[in-house]
Amino acid sequence: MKKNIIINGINDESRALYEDLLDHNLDDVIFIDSNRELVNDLNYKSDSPIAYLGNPISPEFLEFVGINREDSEAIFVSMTDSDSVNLISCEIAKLKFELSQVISIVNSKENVPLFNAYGISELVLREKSIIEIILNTAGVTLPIRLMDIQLKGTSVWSIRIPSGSEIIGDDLSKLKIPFRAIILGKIDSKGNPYQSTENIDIEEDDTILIISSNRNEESMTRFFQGKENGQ
Amino acid sequence: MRALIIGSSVVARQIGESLNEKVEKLVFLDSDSYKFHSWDLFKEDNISFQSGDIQKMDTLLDAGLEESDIVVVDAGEDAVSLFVAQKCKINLSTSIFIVLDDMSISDIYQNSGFVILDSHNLSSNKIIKHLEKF
Repeated sequence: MKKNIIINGINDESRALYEDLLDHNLDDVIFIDSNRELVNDLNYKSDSPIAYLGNPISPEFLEFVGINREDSEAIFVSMTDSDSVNLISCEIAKLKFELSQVISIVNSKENVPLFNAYGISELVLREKSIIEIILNTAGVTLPIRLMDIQLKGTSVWSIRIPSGSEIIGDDLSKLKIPFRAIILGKIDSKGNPYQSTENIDIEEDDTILIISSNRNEESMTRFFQGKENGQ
Repeated sequence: MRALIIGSSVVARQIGESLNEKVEKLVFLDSDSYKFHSWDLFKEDNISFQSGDIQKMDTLLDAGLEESDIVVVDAGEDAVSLFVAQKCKINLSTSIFIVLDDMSISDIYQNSGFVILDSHNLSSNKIIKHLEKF
C-alpha cells in the first residue's frame, strides 16, 4: 500500500529527514507544527504547500492532514523539542487512529521508559546522540545505535575499541560475549572491513559491528571497555 | 488522605477549594511559586505549595507523589497535562484526574484508567465522590 508520512515539528532535523526521504523516493510527506512562522517559512521555500498549521494532538487536525487516508497508510514521526507533545501526539496516532508505524524523538533520557510503557517503542534519543558524539570524540567508548530492528527492541550497534580495552589482541572469530549478540565484523582504523569469521586480532580503534537487544547496551559498554570480557 | 494538585489555573484552585476540608494534606505544584502568591488557600495549615519543573520525576517526587492518594493535573496545555499525568502513574492505588480543554481525546485516556474532567464544564463531584470511597 502507498505510504504517506506526517512529520510533527519543523526544525533542522526534520527538514534533513525530509530531504533523505525524497532521496528514497518517499515523496508523500507533509509537516505539521503549531508555530505559524515556521509553517509559513517552510511553505514559502517550497514549490507547493507541504506544511500545515495546527494542534498536533487534535484528532480533527490530524484527520485534516491525512492521518487516516483511505488510499494510503500513514507513518507518523514526531520530532518536536517537547517530549510531552511527542508522546501525546504519538499516542493519539497509535490509539485513536490505530497507526502501526509511529516514531518519535525523545529529548530527555528520563522519558524513554514512559514512551516504552505507553507503547511508543520506535524511539530516537536526541540527548543521547549528542552525548554519544561528544564522549566518543573525547575518547570514551559508548555503543552507537545505527539501526533499530522494527518492533523487536533490538538494534544494530557500532562500538569503537578504546586503547585500554582488554580484548585488544583477541581473535575476532573466537570472541565470547557474555550476553546474546551477533558480531557482524569489524572495521579497522584504516576503514577496511573484516567478517566476524576471519581469524584476525582486534586492535585499538577498530569499530565492531554487532546486533543485540537494546537492554544489553550497558553490558556492551562494559565488555568492550574491557572491565568484563568473556575470555 | 493526601492530594497533589499540579497546576495553578482557576480550575486547579477551584478543585483545591473543594478538596480542602476533605483531605489531611493538600500540595499544589507548578513551575513558578509566584503563581500561588495571592492565594488565600495557603492560610490553611494543611495546604502548601512547591515549585519546579513539573515534567521532571524528581520534582514530582519532592512534591509527595509517592504518598499521594489523589493527583489532579491541570498544567494549562492538554499535552503537558496528559504527559505529566502518565508520569505520575507510578502507583496503581493512586487516582489520577486530568483536566482537559479538548474532550475529543478523553476516551483514550479514560480507557487507560485516568479520570477526565472537562475544563469548560468542571464538576468537582467526580473527585468528591471518589473521596467518599475511602
